[in-house]
Amino acid sequence: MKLPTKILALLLLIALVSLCAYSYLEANKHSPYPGTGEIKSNYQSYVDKQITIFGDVTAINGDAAIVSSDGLNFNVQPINAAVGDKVEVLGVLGEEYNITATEVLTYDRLSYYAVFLRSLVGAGVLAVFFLKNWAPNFKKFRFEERG
Amino acid sequence: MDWLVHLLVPWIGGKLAQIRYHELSDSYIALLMLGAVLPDIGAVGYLLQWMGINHGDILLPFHTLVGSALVAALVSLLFERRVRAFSLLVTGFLTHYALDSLLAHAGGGMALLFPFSWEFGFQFGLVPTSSWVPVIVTATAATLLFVSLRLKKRKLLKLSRTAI
Repeated sequence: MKLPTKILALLLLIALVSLCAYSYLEANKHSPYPGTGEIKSNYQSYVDKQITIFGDVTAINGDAAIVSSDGLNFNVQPINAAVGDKVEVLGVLGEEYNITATEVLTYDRLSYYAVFLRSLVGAGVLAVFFLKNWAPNFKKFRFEERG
Repeated sequence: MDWLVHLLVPWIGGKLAQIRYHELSDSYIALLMLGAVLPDIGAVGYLLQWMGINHGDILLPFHTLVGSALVAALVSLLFERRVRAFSLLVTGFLTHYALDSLLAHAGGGMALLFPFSWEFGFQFGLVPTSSWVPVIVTATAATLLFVSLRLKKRKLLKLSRTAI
C-alpha cells in the first residue's frame, strides 16, 4: 500500500515533533554532566559534583581564570587560556562558583568564529551545487533533475 | 566540524565513485552533500540562543540517527525517486557522524542512539572543534581531485577531436 505524500509527511512530522518534545522533557535527567542552566536553577545540589560549562575567559589570575557562561562567572582552576578564548570545562563544582577543572578544551576566538564562517561558505557552495543540478518545481512541490 | 569539511568529504567520495560508476550523476552527489549537513539543522539553536530564546534540548534529536533518518525521509518526499533520494541522504548523514566522531568534547559526545539510549559518547577525541586541520586536508584533496578531473576531461576532449 502506498501512502499519499501528504499523509506520509504528516506522520514523519508528528514523529519528529514527538522526539523533540521527549528530548525537551527528559534530557536534563539523562545529560552526563549538568551544565550552566542546571547550575543556575539549583546551585547547591551540584556542589561537589562533576559539571561541564562552556564560556568566555574574561580574566586570568595565575593558573586560574574567570569564565563567563550564560550570565554566571566561574573561577576555574587550573586552566591554560588567554582572555577572549572560548573554553569547554569539565570539573568539580565547589562553593562560590569555584570549579576544579579536570579537563579544559580551549579555542582561540578567531578559530572559534572561523568555524561559523567556513560553514557559511559551505552553505553557499551547497546552494550553488544543488541548484545547478536540481530545479524546484513549485507547482508539483518537488525538485526535478536538470537535464 | 564545519560545513565545508562535511560537504567536501561526500563530494570527494562521490566524484571518486563516479569514475567507476558512471550512472552516479552530479545530482546524486548533490543529494549526498545535502544529507551530509542534515544533522546540523539543529544549529538553528545558535540563532535562537543569540535571539535570547531558551530552546533547552528540544533540538537534540536532529543530531541523532533516528532524527536524521526522519528528516531525510521528509526531504526525500520532495524528489520523484524517493527511495534513491532517501538512501543518498542517509549515506550523506552517515559521513557527517563519522566525521563528528573524530571531535573532542569535554562533556561527552553525541547521543547517537537516542531515543533508545541516552548515552553521550561516540567520540574519538582526535580533533578540537575549531581545528583547521580537517578543512586544510579536505580542501587540498578536493582541489587536487577537481584539477585532475578537469585535466582528464580536457585530455579526452582533445583525443575525441583528433579522432574526428
